Amino acid sequence: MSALLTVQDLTIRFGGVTALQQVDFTVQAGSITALIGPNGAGKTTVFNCVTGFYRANTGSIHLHGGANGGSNLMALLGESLQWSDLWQPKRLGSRLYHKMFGGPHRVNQVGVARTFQNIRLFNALTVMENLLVAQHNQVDSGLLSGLIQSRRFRAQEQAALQRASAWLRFFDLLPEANRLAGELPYGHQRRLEMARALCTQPRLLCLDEPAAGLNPNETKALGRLILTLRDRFDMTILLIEHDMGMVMEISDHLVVLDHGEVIARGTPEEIQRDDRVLAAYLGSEPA
Amino acid sequence: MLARFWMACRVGGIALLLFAPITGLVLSGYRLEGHWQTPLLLAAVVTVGHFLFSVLLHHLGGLDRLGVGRAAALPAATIGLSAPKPVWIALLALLTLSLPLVLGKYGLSVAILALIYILLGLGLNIVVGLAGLLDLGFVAFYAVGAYTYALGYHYFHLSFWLALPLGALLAGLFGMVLGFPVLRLHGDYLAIVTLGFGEIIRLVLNNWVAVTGGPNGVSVAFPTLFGLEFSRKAKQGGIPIHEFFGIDYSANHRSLFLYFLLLGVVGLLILMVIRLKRMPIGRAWEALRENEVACRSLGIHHVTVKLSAFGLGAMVGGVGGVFFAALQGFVNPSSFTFFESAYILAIVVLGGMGSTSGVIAAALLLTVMPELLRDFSDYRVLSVGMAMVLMMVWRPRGLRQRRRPFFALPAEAAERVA
Ligand SMILES: Nc1ncnc2c1ncn2[C@@H]1O[C@H](COP(=O)(O)OP(=O)(O)O)[C@@H](O)[C@H]1O
Ligand SMILES: [Mg+2]
Repeated sequence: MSALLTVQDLTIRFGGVTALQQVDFTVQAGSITALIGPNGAGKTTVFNCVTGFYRANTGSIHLHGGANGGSNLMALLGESLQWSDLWQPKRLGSRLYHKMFGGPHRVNQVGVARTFQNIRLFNALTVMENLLVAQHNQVDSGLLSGLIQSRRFRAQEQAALQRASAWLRFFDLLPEANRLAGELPYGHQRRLEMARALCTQPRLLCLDEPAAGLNPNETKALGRLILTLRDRFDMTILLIEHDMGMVMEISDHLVVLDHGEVIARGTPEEIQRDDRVLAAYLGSEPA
Repeated sequence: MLARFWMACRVGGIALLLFAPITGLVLSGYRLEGHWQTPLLLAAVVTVGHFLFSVLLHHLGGLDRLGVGRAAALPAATIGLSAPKPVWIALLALLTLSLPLVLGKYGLSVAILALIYILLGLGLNIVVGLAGLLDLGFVAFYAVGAYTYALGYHYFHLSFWLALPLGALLAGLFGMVLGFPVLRLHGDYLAIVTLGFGEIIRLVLNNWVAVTGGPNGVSVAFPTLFGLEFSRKAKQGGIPIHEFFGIDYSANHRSLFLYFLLLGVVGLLILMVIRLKRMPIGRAWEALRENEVACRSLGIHHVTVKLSAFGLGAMVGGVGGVFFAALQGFVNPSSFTFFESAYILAIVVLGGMGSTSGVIAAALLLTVMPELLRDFSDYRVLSVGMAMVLMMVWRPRGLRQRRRPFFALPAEAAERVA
């Protein structure tokens, strides 16, 4: 196994609050890695850093492999301009470019997709349209080819529809294809958001509490779906989850956060025996 | 075949009902005279036309390619439109094409104005209705288009036909230049900045007297058609069109010309907007309106997508401006006040954000009604306000709601569902 994502030394502060303190972890390619910890530990903040919505104060995030042989995810966000750039036109140019065109969308384009803790669907669009929007970068999005409905354009739209239908079938949402996303039941919305993230053809899928609000049966089914994603689609998954039963059952590797720091990492068995983890969850001070 | 024939007869009957009062009754002095040949002729044309059209359509399968077929007729997994039936399209085309026959000079100028507002409404609809960017300064791009033609003609003898693309381009450019720094703002902030931009353009036009003529405005020559002029005597070095065709001079010719040209442009724009809504860029606009964060997480750069909506909307505004200048023969800054922006916005909101047919209906309502009710013109603004309030009560989402495209599932996938 090789590492797909390495996060090193990640620190981020909001005003006086240090939300993450030197967070280090690795996600192996083809694994399910779970990020757990009490509420407010900083799990979602880690996701926001990895997917480019927050810029960490220090540290590095690398996605390995892929078409361009690995990416520094932090550099994709654009760095702030400095006075010394004025004497180095090339660096100034690249910084200006990244400043204008950098951002989370670039992180997605190199292969990281995510879902949100509070679902973010395009509510007034249909289920199918939600999935087509996600394939924006895989279809011919030029203005002219679409207006004249070129052969290439139609072929790519067809391909996008097929891909979307395949994921809808996988998540058992096909009958809902033409319904508005906003009127779906909650559990379906969770699955639709996963399908939408997968439509961007990511290499790393980040799921932020996918089982939140689901009943035990739905949670079990979701666990099986995530396992299938790993086994059949070779997907690498980074998972935040509170449902310990599901986490212990499906993850290969766990990272435990508390107060913005990694307090433990290891296999489910190791974590279940770890005193510091128990203390963090039960709230007692370690001796 | 027989069914088609009966269908054609029914359509012809409808046409007769429609045309009889419009073209059959002519007011002569104080008496109404019946001219029954005209409506009968028109109805016959409709009947035969519809029959031929439907037969042709059946044998060529032509309309599918235009995207106006019915869902069942389309191959699996393509987009099945809830499209209006060809009958309605044909009737609408016939109505708009024959309208100038019944409208007088005044009616025609109202119709032209209505078409310009439809154009503007559809342009702003891209920005506000689809992309969800509240633009309170749309009139700025309208002004850029109008002044491109006016000043271009004044200084460089720019022709109307060149002014059309140039005005669109310049307005689009203005939109992009304004948009790039501004589109990072959200909601209210964006509204305020665009409002300011609209006023800035108007103030510049008003105060830069040396170039724009200030409040006195600039006059514009009427467009020519392949060098043929629409005036009684040639003024621009061409031939008057009535001499060329050997017919009598009529001031109506120029209105007819503008009317049909605008009709073509509006028709083209409607087709464009219909397609845009089902293209990646159009979907991205709507997605951005719904949830910007989600869009960015899906690899869509929000700034460029917004910019494309803003630029495209501005271009349409610019085209509207060029037509406005051509219609008036004269432009001055007082036509481009904030009230105008608000009026166009009212059209979009009244019509139902994002709905093409709704916006067209609202534009017609808001331009034709005030003209019909000239005597009450003092209450024009009041009536717009009333219309908005009534709409809020009865149809809070506008006259027409935007319908979503329907996707027929791939055959094999559909089987699994069954
Ligand atoms: N944008 C922000 N501004 C200020 N504080 C933030 C921000 N995002 C996260 N935090 C802080 O980081 C801490 C961790 O939050 P979060 O990552 O959401 O926790 P969780 O592990 O429950 O997902 C919280 O205490 C919160 O106050
Ligand atoms: Mg969280």
